[in-house]
Amino acid sequence: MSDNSVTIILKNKTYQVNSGIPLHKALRFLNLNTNTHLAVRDGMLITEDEMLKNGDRIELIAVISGG
Amino acid sequence: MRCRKCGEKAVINMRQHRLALCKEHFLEWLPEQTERFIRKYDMFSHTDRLLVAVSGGKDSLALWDVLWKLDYQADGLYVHLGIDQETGYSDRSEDYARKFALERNLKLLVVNVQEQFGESIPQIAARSRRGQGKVCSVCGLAKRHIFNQTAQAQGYSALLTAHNLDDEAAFLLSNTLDWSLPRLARGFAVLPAAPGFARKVKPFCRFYERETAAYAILREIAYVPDECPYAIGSKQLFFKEDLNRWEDEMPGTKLRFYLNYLAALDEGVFPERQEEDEVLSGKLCSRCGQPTTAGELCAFCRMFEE
Ligand code: SF4
Ligand SMILES: [Zn+2]
Ligand SMILES: [Zn+2]
Repeated sequence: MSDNSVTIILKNKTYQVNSGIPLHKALRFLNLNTNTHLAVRDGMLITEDEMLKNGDRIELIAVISGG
Repeated sequence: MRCRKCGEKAVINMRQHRLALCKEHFLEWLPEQTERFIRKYDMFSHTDRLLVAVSGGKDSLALWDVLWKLDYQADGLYVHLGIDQETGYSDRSEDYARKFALERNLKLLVVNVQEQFGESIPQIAARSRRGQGKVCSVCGLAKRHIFNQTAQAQGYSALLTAHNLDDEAAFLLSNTLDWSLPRLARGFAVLPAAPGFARKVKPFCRFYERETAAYAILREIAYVPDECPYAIGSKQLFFKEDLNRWEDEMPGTKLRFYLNYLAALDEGVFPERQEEDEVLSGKLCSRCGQPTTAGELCAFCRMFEE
C-alpha cells in the first residue's frame, strides 16, 4: 500500500492522509477542528488520539449547526 | 483512550471535563447529567406535561429521546415552516420527527404555517417589512409565537427547547460584542412563566454540541442531515466556529463562558429576566390574544396586515 493510505470523508469530499498519525493530527492537517467534527471508523465513534492505520476509512460528521 | 468507568475503548473524550467514556457509559452519562441539570435548575418534575420543540434535527430528537428514557411526559411540537420547497427541507424534517415519534409511541403535534396562516415563512418574509432579507427574523418570531401559543392553549407546564451550550455561547458572544443587555438576559436555563408566556426550559444547555451529536449517533437516531438553507453563512455559525477554535487551544473556554454567565445572571447583573417587552406592557393582541407591546396587534399578527 502507498503511504497515503487513509481516506477521510466529510460530506461529499474525500481526502487522503498518511497512516501512522493520530486522528487529531490528520484533522489539523486538513484544517478541521476536533471540537466541531466527530469521526466514525468501522461504524464506531473514535477519539482524537486514535492512530490511523493503512486502509482506514474515516467518516467525519460536522456537529455544528447554525440558525 | 480508555473509558474512565470501565477501561474499555472510549468513543468520546470531553476535554473540558477530563472525561473519556465508552459507548455504554456515555449513553448512561448524558441522560444522568440531564437529570442532574433538571433538578439543579428546578426545571420540571415527572408530574408535569412537557412540550418539546422538535425540528427533526439531532439536538431536539436527542432531547426528546432522553426525556423519554427518563420517563418524563413529553409531547413534541413540529412547526412546518414551508422552507425550501424544491428540496423539501421542511417536509423531510417533518418525516424524521414523525418517524421518531411513531417508533417510540410518542405524541407529535404539527403546526403547518402555510395551512394555518395561508403563507409559508419565506413567502411572509418576501412581502413583509420585517422580512426584507431576513427570513430568520420572521422565522424566529413565528416559531416563538406558535410554540408559546400551543404550549399555553394545550395546557402544558413548560415548553422545552434543545439549545445546547454552543448555541447559548454563540448567542452570548454575539450580543456581548453588541453590548445588547436586554438580549443578554435571554441565555437563561429556565424562564418562569409570566402572564401570556409559557415557562421555558433548556435541559441541554450545559452540553457541548458534539456531545448531543454523539448521543444521537450512538443511539442511532435518524435526524435530518442537512441544514436549513437559510442557516448557511449565518452569524451564529461564524461565532460557533470561533468559540471552538478557542476551545481547541484552551479546553473548557465555552463551558466557563456559559457557567460564569449563569452565575452573573443569578446575581442580577443583567436586566429583568423577561423574554420580551410584551410581559411588561400588560396588553393583549386583539387577534390572537397573546401579549403585545403596543397597538392592537402583536408583532406576529402585524406581519399579516402589511
Ligand atoms: S435557519 Fe433561519 S429560516 Fe432556517 S429554521 Fe433557522 S431561523 Fe428558520
Ligand atoms: Zn465504559
Ligand atoms: Zn397576535
